[in-house]
Amino acid sequence: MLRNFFLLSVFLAFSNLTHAVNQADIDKLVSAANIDLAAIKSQGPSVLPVLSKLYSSANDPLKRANIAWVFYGLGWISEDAKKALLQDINTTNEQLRLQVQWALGRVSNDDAIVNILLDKMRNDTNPLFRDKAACALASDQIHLTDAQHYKLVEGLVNSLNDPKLQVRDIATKALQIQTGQTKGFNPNGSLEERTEKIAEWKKWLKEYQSSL
Amino acid sequence: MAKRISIQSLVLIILCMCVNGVKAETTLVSYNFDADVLESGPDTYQIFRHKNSKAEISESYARTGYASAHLLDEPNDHDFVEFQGYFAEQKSGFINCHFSFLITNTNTIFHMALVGKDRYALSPLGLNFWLTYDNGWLKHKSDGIPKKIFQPSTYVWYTVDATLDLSKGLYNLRITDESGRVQTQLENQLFASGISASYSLQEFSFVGDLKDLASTDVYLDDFKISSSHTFLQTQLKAPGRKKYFVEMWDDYHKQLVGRLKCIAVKNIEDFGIYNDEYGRLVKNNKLDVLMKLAQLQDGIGNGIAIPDDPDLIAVTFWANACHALNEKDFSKAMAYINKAIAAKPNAYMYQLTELLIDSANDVDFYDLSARLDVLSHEKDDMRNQIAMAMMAFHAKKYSAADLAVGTTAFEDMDKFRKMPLVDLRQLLNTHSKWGAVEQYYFAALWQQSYAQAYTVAEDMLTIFKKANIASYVWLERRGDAAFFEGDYRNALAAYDEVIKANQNSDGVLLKTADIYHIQGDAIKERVIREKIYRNFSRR
Repeated sequence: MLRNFFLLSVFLAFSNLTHAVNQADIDKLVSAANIDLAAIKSQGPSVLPVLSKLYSSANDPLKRANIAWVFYGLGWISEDAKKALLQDINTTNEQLRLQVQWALGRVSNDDAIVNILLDKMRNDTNPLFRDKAACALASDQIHLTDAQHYKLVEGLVNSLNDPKLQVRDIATKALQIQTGQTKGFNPNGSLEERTEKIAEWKKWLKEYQSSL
Repeated sequence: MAKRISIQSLVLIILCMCVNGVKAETTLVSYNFDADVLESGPDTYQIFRHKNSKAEISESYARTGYASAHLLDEPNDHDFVEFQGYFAEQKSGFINCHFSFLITNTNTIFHMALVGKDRYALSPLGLNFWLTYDNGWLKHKSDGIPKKIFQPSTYVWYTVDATLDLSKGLYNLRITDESGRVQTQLENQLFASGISASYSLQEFSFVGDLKDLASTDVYLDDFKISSSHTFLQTQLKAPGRKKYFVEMWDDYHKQLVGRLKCIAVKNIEDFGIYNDEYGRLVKNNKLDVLMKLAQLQDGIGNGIAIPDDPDLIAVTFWANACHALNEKDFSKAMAYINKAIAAKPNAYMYQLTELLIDSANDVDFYDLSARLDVLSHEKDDMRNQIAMAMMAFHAKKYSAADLAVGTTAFEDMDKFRKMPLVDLRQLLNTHSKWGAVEQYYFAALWQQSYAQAYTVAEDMLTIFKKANIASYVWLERRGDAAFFEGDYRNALAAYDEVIKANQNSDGVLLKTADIYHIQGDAIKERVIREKIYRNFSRR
């Protein structure tokens, strides 16, 4: 009896060690009409490499968009997820691009991602993608340290002197969400007014930097 | 019976305190965690925790007395632990916040915040005071910047005293250790958002790592929030709440039913468009556009750009008025409807909408009623009664609402009773088809005609039963009518039936807590209330 008990214990221990997320099950979950995020979340962080694999092997942009949405909902840091999503950072497929832009900050705490999104906000040829990059910068960079957050805010302040009115406008909105304030910056104001307010923001940035 | 404090006595107390140098103040929140019983609820506090996290009363450490609150959470457990509480909204004066904390390891994160009615948005009406312990440092967010304060040691009690000036958006912050040594003394720090504006505070939160990446292990003691204003606070009517849950839900329905919105368009004549003009619209292919605009009476979506086309301009103004009404921007709604009326003075829909917007702007109900009477003589339309009911509910003139919807309600119920089952089933699945009956029920309830309200609910249940459709809504309504009438046995039976059959019935479950409280069963009341609001566990 003792031998059986021993064998049973070994079996149970081994089962725990080798418990793996079933890729087929996850594939089924992300392919459903209504994705059960709670069920995917209950698998724990070990689901992330599986999702990344499914993302990279999917040819359908809609499926990729759905998996990006799942990454967003989980909000767990994953290098695999980040690499997978970055494959589509320049896609022209609207649905996929937006999900990728929103999800990247939720799976990483990487300065490079912030810089990519700042670049998209300022320089993408599609105004919708610029706008949604600003949304991602405003609300979805959830894993940043204080120093990284400073860099993000600095990037937004630098965007206030962009030649495009839309960029100045969305940068102002993102700044307001990130810091609670606008310092009265009017994106449509005269160059003189804007320069004066940018100087106030720069002064504020100096104080922020000194607190780090 | 508790003795009432007279106004004169209160003034005398305040005068004595001032003469003796004691600042008069009102305690908004006070927990030393030594009490045998702490009552969670919508007007005190709520505990949020996952199965792997803990919020407990612990005797391991205490700043004063013998117990403290302990918040404990592990990373990557899909959740965080929170002790969140509520107090009467403060918009002026000084708020003093005092609490002590102790950490047992530096790899812990916790936040402490005081927020207003916009809750956790970084704005003057949202996050105003925000302390964070993270990565060994205690920080505060001021002027949008996270600023380091000092590095607390483990197993040492620190006491935080913050005084927030709500008129200036500045706070003083003083932190001492258990030996009384001052760790930091900061003056005139800008509130978290740094914006000069009007401020609001009505909620506090002690919470773990929101990103779920680090553990939380913190002890709290001697927590108190007070206001420099002196005022009498509304007493708790039952544990954790100033009103019964039944009354809170009733207030919610009053807001919902009293909500003013544009009424459905039937045809193009509603806009004062008749034969010749109609023909011209058809000929110029504008009719479709106009009818699409006419579908916008719900007011959802965004406002619409005003076209140059004179045939479409009045309807566009009206659609924008509906949108503004929906957004509760009543002066904007009035500006738009005035333009619509100026363009088309005799259009029925614009005149009807004007009355609703006037009601939203709190024009006297009886004036509006008289104007609606005149309109009704010009155009006999049942939408006039709908408008009358809406305005009556908004103005809380429930007997007028009763009159407006009563006949329709009885006619509808009669119709339902005689309808073939197939048609009845289809009809009952559409809420708007029995909307008049529902309004009649509420009109009766809010006139305190509880027996009448009970009968309406009972009749509707019979009708639903005949169609073989379960109606938890009307079962609950029957329970509410019984509750207000004081028939708690009947109310409890109705609520229990809803709970048994319907999983999403937290609101109804809480109503049973009210009944157990009234009946003096404190244990059962607490068990139910804590299913939703939870509580500290005891070690």
